Amino acid sequence: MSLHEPLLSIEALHVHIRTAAGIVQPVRGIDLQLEAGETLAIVGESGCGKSMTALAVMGLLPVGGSVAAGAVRLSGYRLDNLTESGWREVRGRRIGMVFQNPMSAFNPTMRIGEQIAESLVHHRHLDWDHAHRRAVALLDRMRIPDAATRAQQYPFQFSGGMLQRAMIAMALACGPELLIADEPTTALDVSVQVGLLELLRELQTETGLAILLITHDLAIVAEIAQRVAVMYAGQIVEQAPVDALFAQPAHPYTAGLLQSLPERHEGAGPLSAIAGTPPDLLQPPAGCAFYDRCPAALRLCATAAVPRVEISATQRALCWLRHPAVVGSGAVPPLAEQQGSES
Amino acid sequence: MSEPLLEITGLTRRYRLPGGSSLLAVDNVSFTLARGEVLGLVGESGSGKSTLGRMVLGLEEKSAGEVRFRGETLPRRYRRADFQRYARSMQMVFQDPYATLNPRLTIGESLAEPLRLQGWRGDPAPRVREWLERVGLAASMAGRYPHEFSGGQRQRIGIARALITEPEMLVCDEPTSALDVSVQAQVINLLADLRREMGLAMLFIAHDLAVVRYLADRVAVMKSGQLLEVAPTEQLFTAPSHPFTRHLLAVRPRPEPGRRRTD
Repeated sequence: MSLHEPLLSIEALHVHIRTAAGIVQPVRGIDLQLEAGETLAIVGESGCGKSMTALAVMGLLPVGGSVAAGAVRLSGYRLDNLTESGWREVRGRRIGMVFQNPMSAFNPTMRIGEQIAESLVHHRHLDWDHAHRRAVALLDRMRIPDAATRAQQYPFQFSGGMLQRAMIAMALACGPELLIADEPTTALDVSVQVGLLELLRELQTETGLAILLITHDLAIVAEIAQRVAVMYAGQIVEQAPVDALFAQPAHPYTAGLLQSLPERHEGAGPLSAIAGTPPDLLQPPAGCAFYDRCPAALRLCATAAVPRVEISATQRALCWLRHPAVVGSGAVPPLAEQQGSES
Repeated sequence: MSEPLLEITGLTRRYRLPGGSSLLAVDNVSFTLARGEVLGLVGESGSGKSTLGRMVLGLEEKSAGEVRFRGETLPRRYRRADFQRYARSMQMVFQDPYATLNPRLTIGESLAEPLRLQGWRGDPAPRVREWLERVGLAASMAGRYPHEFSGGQRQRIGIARALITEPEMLVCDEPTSALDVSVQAQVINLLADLRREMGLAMLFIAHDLAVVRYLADRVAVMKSGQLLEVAPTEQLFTAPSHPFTRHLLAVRPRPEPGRRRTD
């Protein structure tokens, strides 16, 4: 037993999904820790395994999906082998969830206030009257105007941004320690996005809530995350504090992502893009999954198991190019030069 | 020639609501688009920017006002023959190309369709192959079906399908907002290249201001159906004149983590 248990600990997690074509491996051995009060963003492109990681943490893997190896712990309490009834005590109560499409999180035939109250009755054993008053207070806290009237309305009567805030109210109703938010702002207008992010920050300061944010949007990451894990082809290829990640990316994939942002474009030429496509996770490659697309790949990257290199106390990368033996050999130019010619 | 390619005057779209009231989705909008020019059209959801694009293409009836294309006034409400007539010179690229491709047609068949509708005689296959290659796909992919392609590849197919009749103008409605950032860059580069090669004019509808800044010559800002401001791109971003534009620019999340602590 270690002295300190992180709030959330993911250890060597592997997720398999059985499909007609074979076993897909969307998550291939990831390690993550999240402390109370912290916001960690998992960022990556479609199919990289970020949502499957979130679903595994919530015990909501799709049919055919399973945790093939590794462990997920909440304050030391093992989650990955819970029964469905065990999960029901964790989900909603200790872990709140927010998804991209709030419409799918609400029952369309039930009033908003009633749906929020329901979880309080179930998890906190409040009577309905009391639970209703709490629901209205929560909606009010989420800056939903005229919350008492709104609580009596149905989901279709809410705008997208307001429904998203109602979903957060529902997720936080029972005072969870961890909020998992999967693309929570993607469907929203910019000004609504910003309001929602500010609200999350405030709640975090007040309650010490930890947030696991799943997103592909680097601007949202920059706005709210303290630490970032970059996923590619089922692995965390880089993990760093947000400032270090944006200022000095250690993995060529992170660097490529940042360079393809139109905001970072200078001059008149084409935008920088990452050529190629990610590997097929039915048959993950033996060496580096980014090998085919990497502008600086060495021959050993194709076949040798990739080392996890500590760049600093808080930043690490899954990359041969940063390995002391390779860096010492002088075979690798600095990352900035490698990226310069790529388009 | 100083005559604009597209000239929009007082364009309005009104929807009647139950109970006798009405909603002005597009309210008295006027602007012009020059040949080969890219005009970015930005605004939040419900601002009317997509409705405007659809009216220009005749996919939506015009309640009032006028759209002139190459000096010719376009019909208020399109009939079948109008689509055939104008689709040759103006085409659309949608946000979700998957929704616009018939899943039971091969990509080659889908690309040949607009040619056939334009009365193309002869074998469309060489032209289909040429366009697959122009958008960065292999000509050999013509026999495959939409589900065999990734999101970025499908958007390339959507672009090829829009451009195969070599129109003069493209209306792009959020063409990259469903794409990942590295793929988005590829598709934007493709649009920029084709624009240069073909002298294509574009009405580029998007909510992503960084993408618009990269691609557009001028930017129009819409809110609640009204056009608030039209300005050359750099001017709009560095010295916006309308308060709403200033607000949009100030609040947008930016991929710069140091920024939030200073404001």
